Parts: sequence; structure tokens; C-alpha cells
Amino acid sequence: MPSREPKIKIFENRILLVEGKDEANLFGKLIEICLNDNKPAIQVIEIGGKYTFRRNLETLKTGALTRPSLRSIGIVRDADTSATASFQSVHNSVQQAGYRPPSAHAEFSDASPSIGIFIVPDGSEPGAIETVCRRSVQDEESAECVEAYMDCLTAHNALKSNVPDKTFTHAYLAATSDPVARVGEGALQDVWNFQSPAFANLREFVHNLASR
Amino acid sequence: MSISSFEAIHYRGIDGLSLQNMSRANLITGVNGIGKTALIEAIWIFTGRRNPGLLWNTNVQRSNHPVIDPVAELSDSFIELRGKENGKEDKWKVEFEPFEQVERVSFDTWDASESAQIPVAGRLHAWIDDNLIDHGGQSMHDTPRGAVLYGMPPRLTKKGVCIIEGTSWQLVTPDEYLQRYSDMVREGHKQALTKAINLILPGIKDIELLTDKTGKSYLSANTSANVQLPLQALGGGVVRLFRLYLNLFTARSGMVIVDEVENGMHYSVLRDLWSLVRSAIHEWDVQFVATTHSDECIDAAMTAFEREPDALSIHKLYTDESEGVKAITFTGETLEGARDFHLEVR
Repeated sequence: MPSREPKIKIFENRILLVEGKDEANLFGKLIEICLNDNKPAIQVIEIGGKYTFRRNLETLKTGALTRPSLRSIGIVRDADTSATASFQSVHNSVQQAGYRPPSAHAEFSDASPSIGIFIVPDGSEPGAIETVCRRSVQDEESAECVEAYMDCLTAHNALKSNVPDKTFTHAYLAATSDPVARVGEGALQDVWNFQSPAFANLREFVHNLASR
Repeated sequence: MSISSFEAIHYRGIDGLSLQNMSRANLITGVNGIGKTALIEAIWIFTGRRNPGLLWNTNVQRSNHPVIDPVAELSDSFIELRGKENGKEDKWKVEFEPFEQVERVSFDTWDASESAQIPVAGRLHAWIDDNLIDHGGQSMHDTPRGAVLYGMPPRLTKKGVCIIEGTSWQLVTPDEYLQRYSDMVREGHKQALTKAINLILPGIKDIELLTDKTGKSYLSANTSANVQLPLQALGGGVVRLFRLYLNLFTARSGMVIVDEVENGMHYSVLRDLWSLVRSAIHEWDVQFVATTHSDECIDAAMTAFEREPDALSIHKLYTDESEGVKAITFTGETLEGARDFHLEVR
């Protein structure tokens, strides 16, 4: 049976490309908080992971030919182990797809459409969106408990995860009033503090995307 | 026959519409009224460009009313098309010259033993790459005002035919399909045809050519309960599939064009339908062009060509504010991408 998910149509002049559903949930919420009624809307599109990114971006570019008013495309990617490598990967894919990429993280190119790339958490450190989410709630009491839990795991040599930020967010979400598993789902429940300084650079990126 | 690119330079309101990267199988999508049907008509006309008489075909005129000037029904003063077929690009142009008064022109009869004086109302002029089509052969089309003459090569040597199936197809199977069925049986493909019918209607054992009490031939299906039923009694979907399969067979080394290919088909059979199309276009070397509105049809086509995305192109027609109707094409990697992240291609 064919998938019955609604097909993606490009209906805004500003697009934010994220990997999947969970990222779409989180960034959709961030955009909602960042932008007021005076700012143009940004459409969030799940473009898939890094292995299919260039191909899917080329496909999007073909589809976007029907929308000559498209003004800007923002791309968000996790740094994982290397922010430099992630940026370069996205930069190369953007170029191969026939768009003009920006010269640095968090910047936008001078082209039409203008392309911006943001490497989470901050363009220089390793990490992912979970890193930013963790930092955004670090002053919460429950965060203190989760950190203690993780310290206990470490002390007993029981913390096997290679991504402690993900461990933190999962444990943090587990203690909320309606526990969910993923950071995007948590965003829909207003778990993360999008006004926190941790999200400042991402907020600025969203504002820049909206103002191109 | 393989058309890799096509442009309707001047035709039925789709001036400048071009398809690039045409593949073995092509699906044309777009909103109502954008020109999908006009485009496939134009492609069909182009494939038969050495026979300007095709302009009077009912699938092109979209009417059974007699037409004197076929160009005026399709455009203003001329029609111009361009395409690349088997690597060679041709530009085709046709104009109609009406005679102010009907003239009487000598026309050779069939056995050329004598000529007859035929009332002629006009002449159709056609050029390929600015060369007038007039190789010494002359044909005519009867109209209520008299014949219209046009030049045609004495013998059309092109390999492969192009068959077009419009949306106003009839439930009754015309005689040409009886002939096609007979050809298919003679070449040993009857079982394959029955198997194809079973895709959408299991329990059909055989298709036979019978004669009714008036002596008229018709196609009949023999069911697993040993009941004989006229083919059209099995429903529009069965007749549609039957005609499609026969068309694919008949158009070997040619092209089959179908408007709204999903009509009459339940969504659950569309994957099998497209598997059938894929097999046929490879086995019989046919280029396939169809229009569709259906999401399920597109999904089914993408699935059928999952392992060979270069063999399927989806051409989406859209309106550009300044340039009129245009097309974008998803094929190969962009087709895979469209499938992967569920991009709307209609």
C-alpha cells in the first residue's frame, strides 16, 4: 500500500530544512515562539538524513522551480562529532545541488534563494540539538536530579551511552507530566526553554531566515 | 521510437511548453485545464508528422463533427512542434490554405488507370525543418466543403506506431481492437493477455473471439464458472486494461499514450498495472506516456520503477506568471528524492 502521509508542497517563500519528524516538531515550535505576526511564515520541511541530503536537496530544487518567489532556505544539521566536517558536508551538498552556499556557519549566502546553514549546537563544538535542549533547562530543579542520576550511572560504570546529552534529555523527559521519548515531542509540550540563552543563536538564525 | 525531448512551439494554448528528459515511461501531472491532454495530443501528432492527415483524428479534434480546417481548431494560423526522436531533432510546422472557391482537381484513382475530378476546398502544407512534405505522394481528407489535399510520402517507412487513448474511450471494443487481439493470439500472447486481465478481475480463464447472431464479432470472457460474458460486461476497468495491453503489444518499437491512465482502476490494482507496463515497455520496446491526477497512480509507478528510476520521468506542468505553462521533471535521482521525502509531484 502506498504511504498515506500527505505529500509535501512548497507553500511558503522561506523554508527550513531539518532531518526528520522530531526535528520538525522542535523547530516548528521554535519558529512559532520566535516569529510574531509581523514576520513572514517559515515552512519546515523534513529533507531526510545526511546520506540522502544532496539528492533530496536537488529534488527540492526541482520542485521549487514552480515557486520563483522562494527567497531563502535554512538548513539545520547536528555537528555530531565534528562541526567543521558537518558544515563542509552540507556546504558541498548545497553546491552540488546547484545552490550558492554561505561561507560560514549561521550565515546566509547572497543569492536567490539565499541559503543559510546552522550546525547545532554552535557551529564549533561537537553535539546535537539535545545539547542545546539540555543547556536550556540546566537551571531547572529537575535537571539537577537528572545530572545526579547520570553522575550515579558514571560512578557505577553503568553509563554506556556515547551521547550523554541524549541520555540527559531522555531522562529529563521521562520525569515530565506526560512523559515522551524525543526532544521534538518534548518541544510540543513546552518542556524546553526556547527563550534561554542556549537557544539565542538558533533564534537569531530563524529571524535571519525570516528577514531575507 | 524514442522521444527524448519535445516542445509545443505553437499549439492549443501551450506555446513554449517543453518536456526535457523524457524516459521510457513518462507521467504527466498538473491541475485541471493546464494542458496535459493538449500536450499528449501534440506528442502524438509529432510522432506522425509525416502524415498531416492525423490532424483530423477525433482524439485530436476532440469531436466527431466534420472539420474542414483542422489547424484552426487547434491553434490560430499554424501549428509548430519540435522534438528529438532517436537522437535526431525535427521541427514540424503545418498551415492550412483555404481555396476561396472550391476547385476541381484531378486525382488518381486507386488503380491509377484513370483520374477523377475531385472538388477541393483547400490544402494542408506541412514542413519538416523547413522542407515541404511532398515526396510525390498526395493524400486527401474529405470534408463537407470538398477534399483537403496534403502531401505525404508514398510509403511511410517509420518503425513502430504511436497509439493514443483519450478519456472519451468507449466501452464497446471497436473493430481495430479485434484485429489487434487476433494479431496477439497469432503471435502466441493470448495467455499473457488473460493473465493481465486477471490482475484486476481474477477468475477469467480465457478471452475468445465469438460471433453474435447478426454475424458481428465480439470479444468474450470465459470465467472460472464456465460462464461466457461479453468483455464489456466485466466493467470499464477490464476493458481499459484489455485495450492498454493490446496497445502496448501493437505499438512494439513505438509509443503508447494514455490520458488519465488510472481511470476505471481501483487503487489496489495500480501497482500491478504499472508492473505490467514496465514489463511490456521493456519486452516490446515501447515508449509510454500517460497523464494522471492520481497520487496512488504516481506512487505505484514510482514503486514499479524503484530499481530503475532513470526509466521513469514525472513531468509536472505548472503556470509561470510570465512564461505561461512550463514543466519540471523528476527522474533518476530527483525521482528517488521525491519518493523519499514525499514531495508532491502533481
